[in-house]
Amino acid sequence: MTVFDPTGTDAHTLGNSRGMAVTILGYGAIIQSIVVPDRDGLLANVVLGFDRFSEYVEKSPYFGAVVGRYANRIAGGAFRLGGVDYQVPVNNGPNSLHGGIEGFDRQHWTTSGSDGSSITLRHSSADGDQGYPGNLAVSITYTLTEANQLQLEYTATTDAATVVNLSNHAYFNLGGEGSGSILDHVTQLNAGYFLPVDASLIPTGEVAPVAGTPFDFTNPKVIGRNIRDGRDIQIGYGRGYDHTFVLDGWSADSSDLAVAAVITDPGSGRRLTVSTDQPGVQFYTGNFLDGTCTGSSGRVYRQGDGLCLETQHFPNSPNQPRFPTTELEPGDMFRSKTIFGFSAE
Amino acid sequence: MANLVTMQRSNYGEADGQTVERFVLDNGAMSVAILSWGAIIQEIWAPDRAGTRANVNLGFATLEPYLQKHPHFGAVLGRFANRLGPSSFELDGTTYAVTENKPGFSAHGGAKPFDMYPWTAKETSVDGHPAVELGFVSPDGDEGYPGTLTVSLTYSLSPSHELKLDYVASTDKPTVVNLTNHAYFNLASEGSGSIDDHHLQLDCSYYTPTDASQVTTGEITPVEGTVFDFRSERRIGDALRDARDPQLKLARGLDHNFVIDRPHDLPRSIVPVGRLLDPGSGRAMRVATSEPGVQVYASNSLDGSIAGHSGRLYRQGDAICFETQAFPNAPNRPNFPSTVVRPDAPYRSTTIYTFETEWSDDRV
Repeated sequence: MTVFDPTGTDAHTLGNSRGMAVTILGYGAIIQSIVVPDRDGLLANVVLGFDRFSEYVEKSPYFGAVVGRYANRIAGGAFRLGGVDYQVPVNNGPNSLHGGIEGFDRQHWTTSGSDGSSITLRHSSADGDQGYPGNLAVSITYTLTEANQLQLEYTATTDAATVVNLSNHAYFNLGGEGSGSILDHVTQLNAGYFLPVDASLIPTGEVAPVAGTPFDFTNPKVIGRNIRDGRDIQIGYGRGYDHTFVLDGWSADSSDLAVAAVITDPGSGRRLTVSTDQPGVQFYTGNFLDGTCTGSSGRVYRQGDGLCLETQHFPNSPNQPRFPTTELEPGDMFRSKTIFGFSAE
Repeated sequence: MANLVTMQRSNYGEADGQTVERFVLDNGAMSVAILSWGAIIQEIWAPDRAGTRANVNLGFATLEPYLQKHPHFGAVLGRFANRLGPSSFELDGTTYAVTENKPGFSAHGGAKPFDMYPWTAKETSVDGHPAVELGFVSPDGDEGYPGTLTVSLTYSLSPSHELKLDYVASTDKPTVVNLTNHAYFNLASEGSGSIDDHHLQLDCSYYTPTDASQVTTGEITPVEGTVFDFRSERRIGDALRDARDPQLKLARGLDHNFVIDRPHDLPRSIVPVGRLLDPGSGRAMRVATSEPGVQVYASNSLDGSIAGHSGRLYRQGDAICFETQAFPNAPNRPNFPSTVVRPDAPYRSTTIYTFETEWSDDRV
């Protein structure tokens, strides 16, 4: 493993007694590395990223970053809230993606409360930032436990009604970043439904059963099994998986965590268990990685060399009254929690 | 039985007002389908170690997608394959400007390569076995190239699993010629996944580096000590991600012309290029050619947007091409072997893809 050059930001490493280590950057609240053992105790960094901070600024496809103020897409970058029309930057085809051109992933967050196993990062997004209303105060606390769990706890408060959707865009490769494709990873998603999209990847509003489709990961399945199924237009739109899965049993009235996804790499035995209190998870198979980026170990990332499990509210919710609300009012606190738990089998 | 080669001829639709024909060559153990449109190799059904045939050639199951812009699946490219940069060259004191279909250079012969035309077809024989001879005439001035070029390409399949491509091209004025076939191979079967696990060996001690536009610079560089050294067999997926070499990075993987090792006294004889193995199925392929170079391309630009013959989407790295050829940009690189063809001496080129199982000579 190479040594990370943090020039331009601050880097913080969390560790535990079991050999696991996580490096967090102040810029973008980025998870730069997650080093975990395999079934033989061999350590590897299982998240994609760069070995120099400057590359995160120049060309990162959101590697490891916290995305917001609105993670994922808003159709046309437009929404109506409290009778007012808002326009946010259109930066992804006809849509707004991950909060706009200068989203939370491109901000220098303020760090506080780092004690070696936990760190809190804060960011203030001003009223009108990227077109969104309300001064939003955001925090994320990363905590590494002795159980090899990386916990992500988000909060946000506002002084005017706004919309909020926060997620982390880490790309995982449990064989080690740069080791090759993730299409042989075995994946299980606790989602009986997914959100079909249009050609620009905006959910149509339909909540479709996964049964009988390539989107059925209710039982463990190798990712590559159906990812080339050209009969399914949804796969074609995403050039693979790039869809929100609707997590079973979610309730707006409960903040309980439930297991969303279990990913296993047969080669190394490493397993990632994702738990969240969010209603959805965007399962993205690195379809737009194309061999342009060289990662932290000096290896090129090709299509499908990483996968994301972006726990989140549904894309385009501000324009879909049927989706769980993403509105945040003054006096209320947005909270969400996700756990990336690592083990080996 | 196994040594009897048959050929079936059928109509396959219409394009540009002409009937497109399909020829299926079969030797009892493997078969190859050729289209008269673009002189395209549509299918190659080769046996695995258990004798089970699979189509190892990326492409489409119908004619229609071949009539649109596609990544030259199985197609013959010309008049000058690969990249010519700048998009002009000098020949006998005259400068010829050719179609600049990419910024700063001309790719694969110009706006309308030879794979976007109907070819004529006739039955012939090679070594006593049925074969198909396809013909195409590129007029004087076509895409800016001088001379009427009359091209013939004969596809034959031998009882010993050799798919042979014999090109002949004659001209009525001096011109430059570089013809190749852009077939994409996946020995586990097209649409089955990545070729990362395939093993590659190349009889090539040098390659020709390129600039950022992937136009050859004129350098001829030893592969020794570089990521391009495939003189000993290597797993392809390991090489494709090795970012230490800026040449590999700028192509986003393998997409380079290798110089085929060749005895100096055999300038146009058919020599081995290399071989490919899929350890999973046991299918292997040898390539041999009379050409000086081979473009080894790991399908870096496939991106999951095209559904192929089996209805499966082709993702980055789902195939590998062996485009036997003159060195790219030779008309602008005087130190490269000449690609000039004159009326008194037709262009001749032969490439053989041989399908087998395992690498019997050195594998335990």
